Amino acid sequence: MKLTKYFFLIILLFSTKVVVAQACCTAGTPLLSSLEMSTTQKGVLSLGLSSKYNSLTDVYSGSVFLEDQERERISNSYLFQINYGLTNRISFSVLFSYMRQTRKIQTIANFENVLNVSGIGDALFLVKYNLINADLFNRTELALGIGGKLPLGTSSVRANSVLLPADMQPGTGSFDGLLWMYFSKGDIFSPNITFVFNSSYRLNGTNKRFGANQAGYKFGNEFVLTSGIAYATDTFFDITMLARYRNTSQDEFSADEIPNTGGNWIYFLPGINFLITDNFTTSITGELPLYQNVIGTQLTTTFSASLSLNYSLSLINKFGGL
Amino acid sequence: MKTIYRYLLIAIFVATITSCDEVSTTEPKKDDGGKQSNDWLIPSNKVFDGGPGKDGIPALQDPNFIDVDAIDYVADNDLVIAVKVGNEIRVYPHSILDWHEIINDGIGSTKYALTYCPLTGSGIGWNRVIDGNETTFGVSGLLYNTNLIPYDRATGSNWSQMQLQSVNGKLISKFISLVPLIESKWSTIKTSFPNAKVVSTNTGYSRNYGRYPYGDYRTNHTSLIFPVEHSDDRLKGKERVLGVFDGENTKAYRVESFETNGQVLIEKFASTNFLIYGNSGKNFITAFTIPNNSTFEIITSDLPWIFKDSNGNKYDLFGTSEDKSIQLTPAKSFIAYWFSWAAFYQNTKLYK
Repeated sequence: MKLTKYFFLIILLFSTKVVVAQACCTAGTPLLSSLEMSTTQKGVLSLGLSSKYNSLTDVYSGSVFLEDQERERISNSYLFQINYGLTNRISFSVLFSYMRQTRKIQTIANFENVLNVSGIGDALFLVKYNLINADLFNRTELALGIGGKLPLGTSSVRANSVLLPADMQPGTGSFDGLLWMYFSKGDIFSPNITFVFNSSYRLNGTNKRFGANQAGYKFGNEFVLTSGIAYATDTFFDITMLARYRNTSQDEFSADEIPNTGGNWIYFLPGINFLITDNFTTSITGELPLYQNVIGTQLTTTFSASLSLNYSLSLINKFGGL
Repeated sequence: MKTIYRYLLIAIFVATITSCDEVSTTEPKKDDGGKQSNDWLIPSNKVFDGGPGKDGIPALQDPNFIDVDAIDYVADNDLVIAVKVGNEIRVYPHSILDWHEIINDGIGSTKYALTYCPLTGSGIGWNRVIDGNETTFGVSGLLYNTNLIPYDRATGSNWSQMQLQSVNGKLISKFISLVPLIESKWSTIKTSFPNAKVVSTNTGYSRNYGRYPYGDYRTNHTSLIFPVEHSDDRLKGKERVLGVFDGENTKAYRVESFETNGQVLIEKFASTNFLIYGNSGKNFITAFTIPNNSTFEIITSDLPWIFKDSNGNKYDLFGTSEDKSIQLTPAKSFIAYWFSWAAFYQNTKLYK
């Protein structure tokens, strides 16, 4: 019961938007990097809530930092993820999102012009297939996945009757395809160290945010590769040290590329997972840019952080074989 | 099973409290009582937020100027805009305007804003004194027909740059009065006016002024970033034209239609007699209103002098006679990419 209260309290904190999270001028709903990296065992239901905060205040021209502190973009995403293992090899993940985008501009009169947009974001679904299952003797796992993104979020929010830009919208407005893979190998140098490797690719569709009779807008395709190690301390917490490479191609309008979108990023992701109970974990992860090379000139990530809560239960144990 | 229901209820709770799309903005209070009205003179569903936001592209105010000889950031073929008031000439390179779009400036008592939209290639001088009150203009971050919508800081009213009119706010429907300017490549301007002053890159902002910020946009004729209301395929989209007004009538003149050594065209397409001077070699075109039966003759290779009248008076790019006793009247006109001129002025005539 105490656990339930604790869980509920944190959800309330999320809902009042105290906890902070993400976006980018090369953006859209930042769901891809939020997907559960690993797979879920047969009969296990895993529920996750996470909040991501992404602050963008750095302006880059290519890989050159520009001294321009007049603008800030903040993206908060609140994600609810369901993972379930159908069989020993097949599991699925579904992710729902709620987005809050903020744009701040310091005007010459020192007035801060702020625009906030919030709403339900898009949803991802992913079916995963384990080619290699890890067990006690062979702690190697390899899985592939395929899925898509459903445009549950609107991409046509207006302010004072003016259509807001694509990357300020809660959703992208397009159906997207998704490819995913995961590899992990335990006992690297030590039984406590696991090597993880995860990559995903989002092939984006075109939306009709300017109207049915107008040319479509397409967010650039996105590739994310995350790799590093997880260290189990044999206490109540684990540590993860990951690096992430992200590439997005340029957005398109009417099949022509939009300037100042797309680029390459490398991040360092330190993280810590707390094992509250056998079923309940919480994790805090940072995302610090190590390298940014944007196409054209863009406002880009200064830092991001996320807080996640995860609850797992075995439906087989609980209900005898669901 | 109770556990599952519990978390389902929690999920529903979270979904419920966050189920609506919400938008909130802050705006400085103006003398029209605050936030901009939702009344637009143009279709508001065709007005788009370009992304950077209001003042996200910072307009310049009273920029620094340096001598022509000190300029090293503008290539000979780069386009620049020049304004002349009295004997003073100031030059505003596109490479600065691409990043700031508006420069609030003035020479003597003439207060003007150089407004330039890199997406429509339109550079227009706007008088900053409206109804006797001096104002400055900022970049609203909004676009109509993918064209700049400046706002005036005195009232917060939004203006359509190429429509030359306030389209939203307290001053809705009011037309702007224009300050004449010319546009040409840098080599033409620096040769013609070696004593001019040119905007310095020391703007107070960190920008890569040596780099065009829109990729291949200005040469890719099909590339648009936002929809436009009307398309016209008589010319390639990014071809530069001089659009000339004669009352409600308009006509576009291609720079490329004129001789490489310059050409004077005198014609009346509605009620006014115009002199159109174009020089495709110098990448220059301008228009003046002239009395009927006037005759002019081309001058080649003698910049800044480009033509002379029947009395032998030579005129420079601004239409000023050599002895400064005659100033031809600049026609109401501006240069823009063809696609945008055609989007705003759909029934426009086209020379050649």
